[in-house]
Amino acid sequence: MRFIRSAWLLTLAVGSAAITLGSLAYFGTDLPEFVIEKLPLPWEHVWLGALKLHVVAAALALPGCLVLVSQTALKRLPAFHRWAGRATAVVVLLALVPSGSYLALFAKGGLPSTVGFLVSGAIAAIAMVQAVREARARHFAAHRRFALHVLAQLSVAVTSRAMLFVFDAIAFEDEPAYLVSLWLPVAASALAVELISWRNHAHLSRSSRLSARLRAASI
Amino acid sequence: MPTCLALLVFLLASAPRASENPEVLVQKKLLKPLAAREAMRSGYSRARPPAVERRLRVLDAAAIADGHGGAFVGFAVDARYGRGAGRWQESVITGCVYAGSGEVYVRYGDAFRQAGVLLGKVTPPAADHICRAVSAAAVERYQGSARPSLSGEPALPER
Repeated sequence: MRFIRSAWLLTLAVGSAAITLGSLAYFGTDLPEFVIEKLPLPWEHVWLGALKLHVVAAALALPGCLVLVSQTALKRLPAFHRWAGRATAVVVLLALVPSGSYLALFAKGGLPSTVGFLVSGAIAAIAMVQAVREARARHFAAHRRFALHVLAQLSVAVTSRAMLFVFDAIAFEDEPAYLVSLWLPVAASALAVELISWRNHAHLSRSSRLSARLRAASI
Repeated sequence: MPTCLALLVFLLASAPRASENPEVLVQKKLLKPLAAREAMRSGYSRARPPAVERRLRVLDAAAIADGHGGAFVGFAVDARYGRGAGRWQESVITGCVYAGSGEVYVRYGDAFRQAGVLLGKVTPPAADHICRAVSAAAVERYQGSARPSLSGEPALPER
């Protein structure tokens, strides 16, 4: 299980780096393909500004979340974990989700695609607020569950691009491929976090029941 | 004198050749640079995957006159996506070529723009007469020494 977790986090780190590298084109003089196929749009400069903000925020937020789930960093540098958490929360809530929500209004695939991106953004924003609240209340199990939801929704950027790559290889229709590559990771990520949290909760309950029985037996 | 000759040769070589073949122009100014650009880009992106192959169709057998006396022919580009046999999509790019001036325009949104727009260059919409056939009524007015209408009829299908 630990190996799967490490492999998954490494995949996300590599994917995040690849996205960041590919996004450098947004700051060059020539427009990249993603922008060419989107334009012309109403209020083009607003859309381009939102895209650049989203790209920078994503380049910080996903690696930030990956650092935050590190058990080693949490145990050895708890103060760093707290400050990195605050910084990531600010980036997600004030830059990533607002800019992404605006970009979602013009998403390829029309309304289903717009709704998909907005749902993902809403899950990430609500989960981030809850994660901060639970951390402040020192409810660490709940904090972990909500923080994992944020990471899971941010990981959609990596998984959906990987799915698009595969769909292109098998010559799947462009627009359905885009929708499936969005909705499937959004729903599957949220479900996976709930399953992990439920499993951890069940495991903890079993452990605490067992230790209570052992304590009772020793008395 | 040799300097003047060299300059003349340079100017002749660099000037657009009059009435170059429209297909050659579209290949040279749009499709080859587009393929070269796409070969460099990463497939790990939300952008539409690059086409594996493109085929050019020239839509008009003879040049069409626009409202300003220019002559153009329309073209459409079909593209194949995906590995293996993939799937063809028709008219993913449409536009027109002015063989006389060597200019290539593509439909981008509601307007036509120079082909560079698909190569990432910031390009303003072309003038209204570009790629639009002058109407018969406008020709008659023009022949009767009136200025032809700028709002011609679009000669190309929507993208």
